[in-house]
Amino acid sequence: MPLQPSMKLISVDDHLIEHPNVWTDRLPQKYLDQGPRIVDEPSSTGGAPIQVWYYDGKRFPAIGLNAVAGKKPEEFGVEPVRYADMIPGCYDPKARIVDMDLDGVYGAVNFPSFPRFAGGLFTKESGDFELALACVQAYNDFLIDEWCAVAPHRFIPVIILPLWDTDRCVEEIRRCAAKGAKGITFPENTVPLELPSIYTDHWDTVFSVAEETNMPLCMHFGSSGSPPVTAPEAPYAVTISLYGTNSMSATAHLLFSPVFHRHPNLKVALSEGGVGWVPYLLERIDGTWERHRWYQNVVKDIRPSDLFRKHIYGCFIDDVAGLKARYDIGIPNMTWECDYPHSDSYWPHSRRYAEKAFADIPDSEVHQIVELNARKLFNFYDEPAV
Amino acid sequence: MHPEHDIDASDWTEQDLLTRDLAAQRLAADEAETAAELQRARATPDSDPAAVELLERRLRALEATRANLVPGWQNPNPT
Repeated sequence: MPLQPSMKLISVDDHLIEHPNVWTDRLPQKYLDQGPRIVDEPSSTGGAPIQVWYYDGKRFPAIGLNAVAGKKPEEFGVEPVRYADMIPGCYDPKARIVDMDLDGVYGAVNFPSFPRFAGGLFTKESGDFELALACVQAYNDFLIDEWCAVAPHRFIPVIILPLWDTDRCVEEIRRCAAKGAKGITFPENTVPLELPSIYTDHWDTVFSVAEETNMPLCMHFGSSGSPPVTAPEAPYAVTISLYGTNSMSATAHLLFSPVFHRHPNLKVALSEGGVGWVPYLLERIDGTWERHRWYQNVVKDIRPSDLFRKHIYGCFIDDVAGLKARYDIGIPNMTWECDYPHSDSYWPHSRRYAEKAFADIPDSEVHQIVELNARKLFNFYDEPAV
Repeated sequence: MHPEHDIDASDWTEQDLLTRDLAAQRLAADEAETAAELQRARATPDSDPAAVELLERRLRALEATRANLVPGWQNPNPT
């Protein structure tokens, strides 16, 4: 049995739903009306009141639950509209640990929901950036002091940034690193958020402090808000099928950029995009680099696939093609994810599923993929026994 | 405070959560699988008591979680 009982599954991509008081508990009094808060509103269908977020004068009709581009509003009704409709593991860290135990999962990175996967909401939807900064700090304090504090050896704190201001980003990274943060969410592409691209020197101080604090940038697909939608009429199945292309774009974007040349110790985790595409894309990128680098503004003496092996990590829930191609991808670059509490997770039998998925893989390779690579990436180790 | 306006579109966040009902269905399926596995383990000559105990504990945990999650839930598709 390649997945041995001693191996601890670490999911590098799970999600939490912020409870209604995350910001009201932490923001200064003057911001309580403007900061994120949950409001009960009558249901248009006559059922129980629905709960919605309000922030800075705007109404966000989903409580982090059902904002899926391509879904018709009438289809939203099948999703929870009140906290009481959710399983408590979504928003209660103690319940989450119980659910992880049931699932055979030991540790997890949790991405935010209301702030969006890389905290982009506070950049895109704010009119008052002092308020926005307070909201970013409040989320990070909640994550580290409240959520992860329930089980610090099992939850990996990955923070959000005030992306509109790089000086504030640097300060927030240092502040949170001192409190125990282990990673940083970052959009897989900054341009759709109307922020400078990674080809400029705009982000250099942010990437430098990420290196200095030994924290990877976690780029969840979709965090730039640019889904692969092929046509307004196309079913959402098309977009779901193409999720991995978002990670492919991020990979090409990063490997031809100056980022890894300027920041030789920076690590990037591509969160939720699979890995089966990696060999093809690296072959394609290397071929392009071989033929076309001489007349383009790309670094000419380091092969992009070498940069990938040194800097980028992928992850997967189930990816038969990726496991078959694991030597071409690079086993040290592969991590495992569970995606709880989204419905594409295998909860409550993620471990059983992993046992089957890894049945033909040697033990030592399985251990690297499900636990050891994630521990190294996030510098996340159990406290030594006293 | 009245909202100034609704935002035009929600963020693309790939949110599609496990509902209580879906979670209960999954737990019930796992309970059935675990119970069958337990039955087989008990029936095996020289069965490993530790393995049997592990399955018993898992079955109890699954049942308790489902009972907490959806009290009185009835499986619409019993196996």
